[in-house]
Amino acid sequence: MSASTPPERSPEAPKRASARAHHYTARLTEAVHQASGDREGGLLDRATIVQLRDSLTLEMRESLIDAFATSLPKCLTEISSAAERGDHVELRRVAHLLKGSAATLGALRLTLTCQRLEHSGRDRDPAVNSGQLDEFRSVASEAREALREQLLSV
Amino acid sequence: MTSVAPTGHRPRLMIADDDPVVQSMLSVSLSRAFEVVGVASDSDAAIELARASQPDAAVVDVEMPKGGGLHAVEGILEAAPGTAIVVLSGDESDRVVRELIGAGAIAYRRKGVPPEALAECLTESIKAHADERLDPA
Repeated sequence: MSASTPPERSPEAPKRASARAHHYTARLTEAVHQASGDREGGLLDRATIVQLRDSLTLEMRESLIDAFATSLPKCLTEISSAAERGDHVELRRVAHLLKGSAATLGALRLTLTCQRLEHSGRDRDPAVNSGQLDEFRSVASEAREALREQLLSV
Repeated sequence: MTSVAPTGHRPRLMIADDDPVVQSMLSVSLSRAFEVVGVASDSDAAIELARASQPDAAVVDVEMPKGGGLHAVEGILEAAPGTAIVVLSGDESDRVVRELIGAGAIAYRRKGVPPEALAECLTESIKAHADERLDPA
């Protein structure tokens, strides 16, 4: 559905939602491939960064980065704790939450990492180990620094 | 009576999402076109906010604590029937989106939608909801 399409409440809506889901996944994959030669190596989604820079003032972007910087440590702690406890429900919840934050800001690699964690929680996959958590923390840290650099530079 | 703001006034908008980054994003990016009357982090809080503020529109996340988006949509429309609801979805299933539309949400957009597109969708949804209330048939 295009942005200009009037809102609707029709039986076709769920079909369009499915199509959009496929489109979104395709966009993610495409962005990963496109970014593979970039300096960030797929860390950020350039299109989202450009969009945020174009549509928001510096003050607004600072507000976004502040919100992300505040919520990220809490999410990391909660995900680590949930993984250690084997609490798949909580792991999935927090990974889903952080995935939304990351996607909103164009933190592409973190989005995909959260998606994998979320699916681990959903599938009750026991393979969330300390190595994966270390990688997750590393990706999160890289994303935070890259977002600061890309969104707050004048 | 509808709660659509008079011409020349910014429509009143509430935001319901448990993600603080999305809350911040929506608040700052939509504040030019809308008067953001409040932000709620769970479904029960969203219903109470709607009851207290009687907004023209609401952006509601599909997945929220304390009942999720379906509970929020039903509760908001009961507490503030003049609210045009736009659902913001992540990668939830068709079934979930269908339930929310069936419960009275006017439209949905995926998270990451450009702010201008979401603002346009909200404006159209307010008009559609007002028209529907004036002429339910």
